[in-house]
Amino acid sequence: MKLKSIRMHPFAGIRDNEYAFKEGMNVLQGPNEAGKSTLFHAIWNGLLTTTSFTAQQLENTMGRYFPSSGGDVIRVSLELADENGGTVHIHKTWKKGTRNGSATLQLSNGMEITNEEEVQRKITEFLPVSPATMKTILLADQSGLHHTIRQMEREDNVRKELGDLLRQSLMETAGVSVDRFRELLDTRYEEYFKRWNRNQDYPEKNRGINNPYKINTGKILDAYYKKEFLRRDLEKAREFENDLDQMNERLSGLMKQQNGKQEEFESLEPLKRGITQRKDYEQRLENAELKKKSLLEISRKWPVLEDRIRNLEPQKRGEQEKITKLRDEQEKAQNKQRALQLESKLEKMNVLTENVKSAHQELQEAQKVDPRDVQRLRRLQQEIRVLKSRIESARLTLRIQSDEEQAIGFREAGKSEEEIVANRTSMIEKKASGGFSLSFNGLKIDVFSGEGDLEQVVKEVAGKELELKQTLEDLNVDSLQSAESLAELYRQKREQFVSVRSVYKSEIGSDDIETLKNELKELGNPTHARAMQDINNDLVEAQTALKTLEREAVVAQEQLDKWKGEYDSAEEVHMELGERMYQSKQLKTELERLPELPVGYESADEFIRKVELLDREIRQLEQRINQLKLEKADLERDVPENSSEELEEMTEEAESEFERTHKEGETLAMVRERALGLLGLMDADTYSGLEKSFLHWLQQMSGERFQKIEMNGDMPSKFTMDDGRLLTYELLSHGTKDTVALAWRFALTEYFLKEKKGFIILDDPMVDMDPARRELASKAIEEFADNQQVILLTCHPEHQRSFEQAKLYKIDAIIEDG
Amino acid sequence: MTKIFHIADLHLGLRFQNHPEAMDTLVQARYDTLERLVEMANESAAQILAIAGDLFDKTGMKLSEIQQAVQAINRFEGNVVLVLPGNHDYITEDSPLWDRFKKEAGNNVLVLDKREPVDLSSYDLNATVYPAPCHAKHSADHAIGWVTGEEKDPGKLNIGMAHGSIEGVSPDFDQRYFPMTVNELNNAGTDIWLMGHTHITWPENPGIKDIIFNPGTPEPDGFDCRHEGRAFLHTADANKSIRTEIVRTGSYRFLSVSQTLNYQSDIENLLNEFKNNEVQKSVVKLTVTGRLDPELYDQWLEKRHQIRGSVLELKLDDSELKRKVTEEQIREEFAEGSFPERLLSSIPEQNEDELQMAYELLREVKR
Repeated sequence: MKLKSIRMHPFAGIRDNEYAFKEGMNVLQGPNEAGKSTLFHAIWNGLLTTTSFTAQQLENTMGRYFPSSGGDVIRVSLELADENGGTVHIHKTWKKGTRNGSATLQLSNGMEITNEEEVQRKITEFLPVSPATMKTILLADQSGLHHTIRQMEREDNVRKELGDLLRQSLMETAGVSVDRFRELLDTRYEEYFKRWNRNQDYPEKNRGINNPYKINTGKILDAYYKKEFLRRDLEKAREFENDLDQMNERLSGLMKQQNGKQEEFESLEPLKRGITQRKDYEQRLENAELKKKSLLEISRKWPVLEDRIRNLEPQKRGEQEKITKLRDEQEKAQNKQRALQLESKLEKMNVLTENVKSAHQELQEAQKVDPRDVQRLRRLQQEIRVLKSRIESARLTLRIQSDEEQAIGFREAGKSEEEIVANRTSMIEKKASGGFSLSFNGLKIDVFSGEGDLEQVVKEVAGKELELKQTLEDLNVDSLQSAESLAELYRQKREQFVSVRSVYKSEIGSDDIETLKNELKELGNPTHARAMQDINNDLVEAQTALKTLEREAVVAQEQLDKWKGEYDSAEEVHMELGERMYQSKQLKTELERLPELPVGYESADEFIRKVELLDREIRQLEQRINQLKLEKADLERDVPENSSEELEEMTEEAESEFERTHKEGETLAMVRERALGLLGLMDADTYSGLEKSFLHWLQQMSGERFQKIEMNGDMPSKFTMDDGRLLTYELLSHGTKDTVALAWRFALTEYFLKEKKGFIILDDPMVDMDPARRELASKAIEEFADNQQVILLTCHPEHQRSFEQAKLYKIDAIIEDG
Repeated sequence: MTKIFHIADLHLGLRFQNHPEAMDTLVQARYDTLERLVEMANESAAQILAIAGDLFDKTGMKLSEIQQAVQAINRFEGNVVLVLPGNHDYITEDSPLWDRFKKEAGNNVLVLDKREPVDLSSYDLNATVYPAPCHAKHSADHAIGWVTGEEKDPGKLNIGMAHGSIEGVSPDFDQRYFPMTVNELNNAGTDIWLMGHTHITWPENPGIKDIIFNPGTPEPDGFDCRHEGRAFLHTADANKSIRTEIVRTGSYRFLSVSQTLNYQSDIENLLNEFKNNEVQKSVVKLTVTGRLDPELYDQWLEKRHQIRGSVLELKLDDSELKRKVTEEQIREEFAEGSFPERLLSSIPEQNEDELQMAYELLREVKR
């Protein structure tokens, strides 16, 4: 794409002006503010700025290009040459207000587009590079060439585009787009491996068929799910078929069992009635036979019993008589025994009577001392002893001496008076207890110990001694000891008597001698008799025999009475027997007519039980069969859509499909891995071409002052100078920076416009260069213009002169408003 | 002389879900084949039409399907049709399929549902049949044991009928399909065994000494069935000597074709092969392998659809057919040092799949 002409009518300060450009070098020279920048902005906006703005957007974006003299519209018309040399017309009008602008695009084939959006899209398509690259590299304004590098650093789009371009040159030989290839690899990889975990070789997040992904699945996962679902269906189908087989087997078994039982039942059941009747008849026959047997027995026993009863009477009588005799004998023997007892007792009583008499005599003869008297004597003697002790404890000693002999009556208290003779020669010493009295010559002296009541005691002693004496005399004993002895003797005699008499009484009991004697007399002298024990034994024996006979008679009579009650008579029994025999015969005949009990059965009962059991079993089997049929119907309701054989085939196929898809995916993954690895490697070389081109232009413009450039990816980072210095971009002089930036733009533009035609606008690129460098730069620009259209704007006439072959414009013709 | 038209394993009701395009056709084909079989039996003047199991594919057949089958069978004009339940259409004490079948069947159609001899004299045949019907889909025990113990009348043709695998003839690794041995069959005392279950024909070339016959399915049902659908026509003479001829009965084929394509002529030959009318009624599993020059490979890609159009259903696996990618080609097509060249050259020769795929992908994005 080349710029053929531009018309601004009006645009900023230009009312209506048009410039036509040639291929190669175009130089527009005019003083600053002469409209250089207006031209630049008109091209820029004519190509890159939409006309569809709100009023505010229009003001912000395009406001400064409206004529300051007034007017609400600006216009730019561009003519461009396309790759085939055809002309493309662009007309843009910006009018104040909201979306009042318009744009038209007329292509070389005559097609005209007026839809603003479409116009802008087509222009973008038409541009050799992206709008961002256009703005940054091809249409860099005069705000500083050297800003190109900084601007580029900020512009990701430009750098990406550059990268793509460089890589393209490097890799896309034969028209393979690396980016499209990469995109295709990614798309295909996604198509195969979406939601598939390659490391685990399993669905992502372990989501197997129990929790499968429903959407956004890759081919491998789809194939995996398909085969796994089929495998599950196959297992289910096999399980179902096995279950059904088993159920059928059970059902067949049960039905066979039922049929077997049914057959047996049907063969036995018709016999059941006959066998039941047989059972009844057999029972009746058995009863009849029993009755017959019983009647025969009765008829046989009846006369026997009657005879027996008759024969029992004399036997009973005989036994009765025997008993009577034995009882007489027993009485006699008892009398004899009594007489002997009486004699013995009377003899004994005589002895005892004598004993009683003798004891009574001895008692009569013994002196009777009452124990109470003895008791009284003892008490008196005791009291006397006590009183005397009192007297004894008040013992007095009396010594009498008299000048002359004289008789003195002395009486110790309680004692009788004695006469003592006192004289001169000897001292009479007397001792007295309790007191004493002296009497002499008519004088009586009473001496007492203590307070004088001892006299009373003495008196009391005397009284008691008298009482003692009197008592002894009464008892006719001389002492207490004698009294005690006599009393004891009397007591013994009495006891002897009482004892003997007691024995007598005990022996005689309620009898008396006379009565006994009379009784003995009455008994007379019994004759000899057998031993009582023998008699008793015989008696018991006879009684037992009698009782047995009596019982036998009773039983026989009862039996006979019973029979009589039933049959009246023996004749009647015979008649009954006849009837029974006839009945038996009848029953036997009937039984012959009835079916025989089948072999293998012990009894009709067993047979009937068997038939009933079969009936029950058949019904039970029927229930089980019905139940099983229901279960089978339930099972068959969920019959799998496909048989196991079909599913086996389908599963096999799905497994092969999975294997194939998986293999394809893995192959794809290998290709992708290899391609990405290679791209990574090749990316490292991407910028070496750019570096070469950059160095070429730089050396050309600097006269070989630059020896080497170090690139940091897509950006130059260090420069090696001819003197060996290694400088960063920041360390370069202002003029050198311009040179470097221009060379950089050329290098970049070369790539961006490779194999295409385009234009580049350079806004005073040599303003800071010394003449020598400017010379070199001019040559380089001219060389560059050999391949691409260059529109150079400058305010320096001498710069303009540097270009010999350029189309030159004087821009002072531009009418500058205000 | 007794003529027996012997078929087995028709599997009416087979669904062919794996063949979505051919499914409807194949399902209907089996009913059509049954009608044709009865016609063939009539034309051959067979007295007996023997169906040795798996007339139906499953016990759960629809009423209309049973009726359709019985109506065809009822058209047999010979003396008797012997229908043996196989392991797919096994019979149980309660069997809606066979109850309905019997209800619909004509007087000369006998369902051999019990393991007991059936005297065919009431059908004017001097023969007794000893059937071994299946009572379940699977069984580790065969059903012919009882036949050996039965007393045979040497004056009659004693026909055994059984359904199940025969050791050495049919695959039954798990011994689930009423497995029998040739010995057991030979020693059962019958003059002929009319077998079913195995879908291939056995013996392949029946001879005068053979007495065990398995015709195979009369209508092919899968790729493992290589024949065209078969029945046997047995003719027993008065001496009970049996002559058997193979009758071709099927309409559709399942063809597994493997072809190597290396040259232009290979492609042309293959395409021509599928141009003939015969394959129109075939489900074809076509596996092509080989190495084709790039332009030939493109030609293949362009023309392979022609095959699909000329067959009933095509299952094509050409994943092993590779575009020939040689070093020279790579260099010729991609400049040395370019990304495509470097990528393709970096793939080891033995990684043919990878090379092929990389190449295809590169071509896909090539402008």
